[in-house]
Amino acid sequence: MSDRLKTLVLDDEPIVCKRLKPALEKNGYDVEIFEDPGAALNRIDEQDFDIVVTDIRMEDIDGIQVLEHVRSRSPRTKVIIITGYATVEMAREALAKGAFDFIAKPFKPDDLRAVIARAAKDLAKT
Amino acid sequence: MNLWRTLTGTRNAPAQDISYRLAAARLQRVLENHKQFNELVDSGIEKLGGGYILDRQYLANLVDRAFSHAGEIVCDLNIAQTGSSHRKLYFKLSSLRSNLRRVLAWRPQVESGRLVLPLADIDELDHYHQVGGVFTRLAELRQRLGLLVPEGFVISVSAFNQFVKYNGLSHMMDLAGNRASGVSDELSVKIRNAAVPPELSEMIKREAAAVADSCGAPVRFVLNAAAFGQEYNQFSPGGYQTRADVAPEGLLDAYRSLLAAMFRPHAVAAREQIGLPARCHIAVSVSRMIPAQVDGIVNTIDPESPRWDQMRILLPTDSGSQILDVSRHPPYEVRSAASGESPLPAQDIARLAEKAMRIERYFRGPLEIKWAMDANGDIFIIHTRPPAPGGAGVAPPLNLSEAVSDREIIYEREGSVASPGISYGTVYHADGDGVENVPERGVLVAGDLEPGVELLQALKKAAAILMDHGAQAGHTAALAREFHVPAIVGLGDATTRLANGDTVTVDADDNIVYRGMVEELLNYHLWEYLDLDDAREYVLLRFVLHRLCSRNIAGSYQRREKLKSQETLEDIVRNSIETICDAVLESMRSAGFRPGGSAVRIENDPGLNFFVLDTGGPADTRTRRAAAKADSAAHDVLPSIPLACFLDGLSGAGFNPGPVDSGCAVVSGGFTLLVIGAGALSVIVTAHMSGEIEKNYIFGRVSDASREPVRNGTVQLWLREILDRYGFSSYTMPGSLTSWKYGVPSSAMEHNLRMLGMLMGYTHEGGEKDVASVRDEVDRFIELYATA
Repeated sequence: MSDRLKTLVLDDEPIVCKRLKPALEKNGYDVEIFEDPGAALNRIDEQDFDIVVTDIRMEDIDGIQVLEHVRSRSPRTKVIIITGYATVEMAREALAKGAFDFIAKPFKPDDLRAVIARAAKDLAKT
Repeated sequence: MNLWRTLTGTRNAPAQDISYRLAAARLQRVLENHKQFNELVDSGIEKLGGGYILDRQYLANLVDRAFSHAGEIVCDLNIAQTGSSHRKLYFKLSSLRSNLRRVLAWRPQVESGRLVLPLADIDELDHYHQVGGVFTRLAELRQRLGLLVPEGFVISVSAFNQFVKYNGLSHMMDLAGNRASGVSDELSVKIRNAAVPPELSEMIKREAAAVADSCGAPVRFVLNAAAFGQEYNQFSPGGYQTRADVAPEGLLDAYRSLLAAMFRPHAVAAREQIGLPARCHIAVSVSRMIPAQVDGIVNTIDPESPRWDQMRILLPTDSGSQILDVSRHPPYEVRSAASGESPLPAQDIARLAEKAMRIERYFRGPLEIKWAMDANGDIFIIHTRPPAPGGAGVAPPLNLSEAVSDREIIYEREGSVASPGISYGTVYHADGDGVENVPERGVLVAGDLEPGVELLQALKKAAAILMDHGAQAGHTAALAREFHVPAIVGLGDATTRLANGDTVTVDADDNIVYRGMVEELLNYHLWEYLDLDDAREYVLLRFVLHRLCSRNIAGSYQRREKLKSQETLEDIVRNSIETICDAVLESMRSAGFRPGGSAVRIENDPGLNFFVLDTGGPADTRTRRAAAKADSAAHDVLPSIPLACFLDGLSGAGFNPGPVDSGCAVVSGGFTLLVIGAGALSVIVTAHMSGEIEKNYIFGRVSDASREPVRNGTVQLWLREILDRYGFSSYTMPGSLTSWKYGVPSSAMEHNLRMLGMLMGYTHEGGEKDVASVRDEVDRFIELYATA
């Protein structure tokens, strides 16, 4: 079995997924990308992920719902929330509900890699 | 008095000081807004270059804040220039802002504008909303890459809207998407029989005649229609409509026929499939039909081969077509021909392949390119588009981590990404044989690159740029982004660490330079090509920045005195600041640079009759020159370190003032304003110095009433070059040069202000500079400063 960090990225903006997948793969993570929150939740039901990176504002299912779903299914999974300028308040709510951290757009893949590295460290302790 | 208190923060002041205090307070406020405006624009430019992930909200915020700072500057300008016509600037700001809001909402203003645009005039950022992405990209191939495309023009979206209005078809267009109503069929018939408005009809005929004149022979035309939003990155079969072999007298009929075809039910459905409304804006290109000796299609990645290092050229022959497998790398050998001898000689195949790879590099992804060669052997690009789904070969194995883990990394996040993308090539030192001689797929390595025709030529061929110096908001960075050449700047030692002829892979998405060719990374990039330029947020960011600033324009900045020609927010900001600076200079000059009241004369100034007005105000010891810290005996009693440092530098350059030359300074808290009039030369230097580095800045402006030497292009060049070496941003206008530097640590501020003082002295005393030796002049000054 691979010891690579299993990472799921969910954002309904295709450019975010396209940009993050190679950036995280270069760091040695196994990355699956989803633009459809429903499909992502189905995949989370099938597979335990180490890290879930999700946008907070999406149609139908928002990032908070994704967070709650992940927390109920796999408490050890670290959830990182992507926010925009106008959604920082929601991000605070996400932190209160157990998100590991949040990162606000605009950001560089490197900024996210730093947050994931911290999450990985945390996971290693548990 | 309320206004007075607002501006100066003080309750009372001696009457004779008031104009000086007001001038200083106003300038301080204006320059702080200028600083914040520039920092906002720079951060936007950084986002454009560095592969950020951003959203629409960020853009809206950027626009709001930029307009807020510009509004405050215009407000100060109006206070400074009572009774002037600057009030009109508020309306200009308002119109620019509402235009940008429409752009952000993806509802550009297309009701007015040019009806017909010759291909040679089309610029992506100015005309995107008029002609759409498909045709601006064709124009880019001609303008940016210097490739031949058929001569022609575009009948714009404005023309289409005029056509609709003239024929009263607007209401039907709104209903065209309702398939059940059958409106689409009826509309199509009405368009077919409608009249082209006379003004438009005249323009089309005139442009067609101009194309025929330029060719010197009778011409036939090809017309293509595309709906706005049918962008390059969307493959939409059936979405485009074409009419070929059209005689000049048949153009109007062909135009109507094309528009009618765009509203037939299947075309409406094709647009709806890619999310476009039935009522859309349509542009039509009209191009000369190339009398081709041979034509065909190039797929830059062979769609039927697992090999990622070959392209496919499809040639029609008498008996059908012939397929050539051609290497993607020079010398572009033909590996196999599916049947018989190639109808194209090897050198023509190589020429075609080289052009195809140049276009692929520019658009950063696999392409299908339609081309034609005429009797003279000239190769024309007819159109380019991404391959159909599944038409870009077989996906390479995906394990980037393993692919790059054993590769030698030369630089890892040591510089700054100025233009994103991934490319490879052979290192070429631009300082050696001239930048313009860079070979095809050369990686330009240089200390710095001067803007000019040579650089523009080089950017058509270069695979990437690596520079020791430079900044993301710099000139080379802006040009690299325009030419889509991946670039990393500020690497420090690329010119010494990389040898001519080294092969490197530049990953400017991730700010890494690898030794050798990292094929897996390049293939992955092609397969999952991340054309950030086509992401809507990036398209919008480019438009926003284009309206906010003019910094991607090559050459020196031109002052646009007339309000009408102030097209960007930066035009308004700069013109306002120039006017305010001129007003400050004029008021101080006319008062003989002598503030009254508590102003004191400096005894040991460089002979200038220099007065200093200290208005008090809070400042920490880093700003104030403590008596004990006196590394310059001449100026140890001055209340401001920036002032002392500047005057030190001035003396050090052997500054020799004339009998009427004079100067004064106003020191207010951490802010210093210094003004000197020396003959026709006037200098304003301001500095804000505090313990908080991010709040520190230096702003300087030198102007010359006689417009010499500042007007002199060579002097401008070496002054700007020197300022650039010391990390200053600058622009020139006729008769003045303005520069600034933000976020400067205290020790660097002292150093920089001494340098500025010395530079002023050197400019004043140096006389005419040798036109041929800008670089020598720069080196001479830097040596002089280092040894002073």
